[in-house]
Amino acid sequence: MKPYILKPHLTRKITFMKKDDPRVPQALFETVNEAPDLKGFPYPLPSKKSDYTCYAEGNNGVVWYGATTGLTRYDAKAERPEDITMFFSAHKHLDNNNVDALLAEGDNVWVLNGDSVSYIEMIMLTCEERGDLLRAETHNYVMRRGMVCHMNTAEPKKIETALGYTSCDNDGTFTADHFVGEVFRYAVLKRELGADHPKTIEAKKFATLNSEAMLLLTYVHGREEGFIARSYHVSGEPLPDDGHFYQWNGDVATCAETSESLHTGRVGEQVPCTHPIPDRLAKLYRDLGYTENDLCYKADTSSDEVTNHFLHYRLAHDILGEDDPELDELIKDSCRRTMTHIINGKFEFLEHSGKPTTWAKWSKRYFATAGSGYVDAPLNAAELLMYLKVTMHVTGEEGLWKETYDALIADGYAELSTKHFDRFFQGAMGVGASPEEDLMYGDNLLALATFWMLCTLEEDEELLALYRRSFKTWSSTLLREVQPGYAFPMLAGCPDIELDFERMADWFYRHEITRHAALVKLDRHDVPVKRLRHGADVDKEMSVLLMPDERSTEKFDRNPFQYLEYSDSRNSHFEGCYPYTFAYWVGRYYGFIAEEENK
Amino acid sequence: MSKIAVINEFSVEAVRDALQKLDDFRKLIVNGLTAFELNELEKIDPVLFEAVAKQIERDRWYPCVGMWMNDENEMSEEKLIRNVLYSTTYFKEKFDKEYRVFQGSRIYNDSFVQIIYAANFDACVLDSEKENYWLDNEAYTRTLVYSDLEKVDINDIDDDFIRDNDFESIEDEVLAVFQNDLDLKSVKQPVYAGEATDAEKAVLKAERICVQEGKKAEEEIQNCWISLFMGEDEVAVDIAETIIGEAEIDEDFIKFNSDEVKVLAIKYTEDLSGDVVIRIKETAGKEKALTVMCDAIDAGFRSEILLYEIQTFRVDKEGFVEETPIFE
Repeated sequence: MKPYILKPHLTRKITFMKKDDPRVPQALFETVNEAPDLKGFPYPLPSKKSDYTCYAEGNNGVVWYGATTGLTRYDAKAERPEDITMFFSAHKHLDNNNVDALLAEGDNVWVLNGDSVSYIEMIMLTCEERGDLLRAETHNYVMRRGMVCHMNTAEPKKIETALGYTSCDNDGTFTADHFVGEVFRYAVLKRELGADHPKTIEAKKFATLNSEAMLLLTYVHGREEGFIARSYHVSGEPLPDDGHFYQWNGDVATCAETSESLHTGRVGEQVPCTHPIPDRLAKLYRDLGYTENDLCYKADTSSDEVTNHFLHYRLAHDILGEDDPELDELIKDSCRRTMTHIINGKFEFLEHSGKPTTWAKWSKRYFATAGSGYVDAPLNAAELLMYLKVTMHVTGEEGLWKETYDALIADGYAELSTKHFDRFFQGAMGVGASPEEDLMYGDNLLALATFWMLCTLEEDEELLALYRRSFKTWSSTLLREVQPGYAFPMLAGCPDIELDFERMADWFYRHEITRHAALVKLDRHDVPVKRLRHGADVDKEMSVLLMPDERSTEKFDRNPFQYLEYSDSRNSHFEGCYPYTFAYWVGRYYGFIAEEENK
Repeated sequence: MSKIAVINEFSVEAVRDALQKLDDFRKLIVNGLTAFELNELEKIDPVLFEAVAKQIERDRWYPCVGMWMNDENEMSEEKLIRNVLYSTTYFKEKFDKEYRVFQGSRIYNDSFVQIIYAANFDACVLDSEKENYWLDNEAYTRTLVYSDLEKVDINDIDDDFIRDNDFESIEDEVLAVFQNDLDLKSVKQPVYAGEATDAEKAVLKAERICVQEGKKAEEEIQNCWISLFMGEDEVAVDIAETIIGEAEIDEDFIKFNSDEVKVLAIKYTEDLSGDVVIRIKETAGKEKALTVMCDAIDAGFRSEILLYEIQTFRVDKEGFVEETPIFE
């Protein structure tokens, strides 16, 4: 297929300041407000017509309308329907939603909100440039020791006040997703610019760093068995009161006190940590002055983590391995250890005590449990097959891996993977919920990683057809988000699916250049709120998928339709850039999208 | 397997007999009587109705929920919607009960799945269907069609039979199936654009005129629909024409950015709040981004509509819009 050509597009850049800031033009305070005449306005407006109190005309016929409930940009000549009316609201774009005055300045506008001013610039960027700005924010402020999740700041909206540490339950998962963007970026730049180009070298450096951080999670526990930690902290970082943490001290790690470890009676449990951490990975904390005794790792690992580690093994081996044999050996060793641990645990991921973790089970024993086991079975069955397929691919070995894979196929695991849609609906109906409400959004990403890998590794025609059929049982949930990060790997796995590339382009064009996760105003006049089936009033969604710059910034695995009550609770929260860079660089890698130069 | 005791005959005697058996046998559960039949019973014999009502409240009598009254004929989307709406509203308002298993005669039209799905039914029991399967449609909605029920007529069984058997409601028996390992075939419902009859069109016009002109005629409109359910089309048309008078539909009242959408209904909500319901259907089998402009009620909104999807919007007096799955 020919790539869809993305063009440079206007992007929002917001600068917040106090109204006495010397940069604010005096003319903003001298404007005379006049309510616009919006009778017969031909498009739905985000605010009620009677809420609009002022307006300002900018370049090329663009009009900015200020309201007591936000700011609207109207461009009657916009090429893309989604750009005709744009909405700006607190706290992403404005300090509050009451617009007191407007001053247009070319493509940009000054907005007065009480004591605060927002300077909104509309800058022309290519999608790659947008991604580079997002990467810079993530690399400078969100990433820690190669891991990427999210970051809080000391002061609202100010990324430069990033705390430097964070609490993340799924560091392995989100770092893997970030790694996908970085490693495909490296592969594309190497292909297009050559291995020695400075951009390619920089890309390789970051992809390798993320890969090392992923691998460290598979050794950081020091357990002899092939366990994987969810995350780890170093001395001086506050431990969240959530989950099971083990603090290193010499040859043993001791379970720290948290509400959960008190509840499960694991406080004080001692687990050996005698397996050496490879020097190449240990440098991630040693270079910062920490030793093993500064480590505190998080256990009770879920299948989310495991699945994303196997996604990482495969891509790191394929793209980084050839030029970095040392890294490749670590990938192979980690992959073998993890796979062996799962097989020895009879397809359950075990803590040192021999008890399975809460959410990492791929055994028929688990599948036979009513409720979650029954509903999870189609995905988890496929995950296990994917792990084995990746292990064979990465290690180049067959033996036990192939024997196990063949035995699972004979035991119906591949066939079971086709039953997701039926069981998902059945599970929701069984608890009297709507499927939208019952959906575990994290599962979308797991299904994506699993079937993307299976469909690009399996050579047996019959099995490949079956995996593609299984992949498509996720269409209703994956494709409803119109998220290229879901759509492109799905297209790579199932080349016959039809995608609306115009909507994919809108998603890229309308992404902001920051991952500031402040909430936005969702009680809009132009977008219905949707009450879910069986739901009480709290179970609501937006009935339209808003453009990324008009909805709250979220992780990959959250509901983009979610109706969040407006509050200032997330003004000090920044997310990593991986949803954007994952989507963009996977699209470029497979040749689904290409870029027109920014003139 | 538990037996499903059903009251097949709607008569005072049959109801009395069922109530007596419920009094005599604590384990017995009775199924049956539509909203229409209960409404009639209340008029004929209020004391007997109260006795049935108590058993409904205690979950020992499960009414026949889904259709206002039994109907074996195909029907338009809007007629089915009103049947479902009037039935579910009746049980909610009268008994504060919401049920999840639709009971009816057949698949009434090719929007059947999404209509009963949107009305919060997860499964259906239909006289016409003889096997269990998933019934799907293009808009990713589905319902479980369930037939494995051992029904007995409550008025035909004797005391020994009741003593020797266990009894269950259709509602609980079907919902329990969701806990089983189900391996059922999926049947995709074909698409079709259901046409309202001339009598239905007259009633729908009357409803729209009410909104256009700000007229209040909820009771008359309800009588129109009940007349239509009963097959008394002429009565419905007479009432509708009285409401309409000389008024005409204002074609500019609502505008879309696409011709591939039809209006099923524009009406006031049933709760007498004065809010307006706009119900539309995609007709071309294409997912689309829709804009809906309705200046007369200060509304202008966007929607994403799936192929052949029916969407219902509730517009409040400020012009704010809610998309609602429960038909208003």
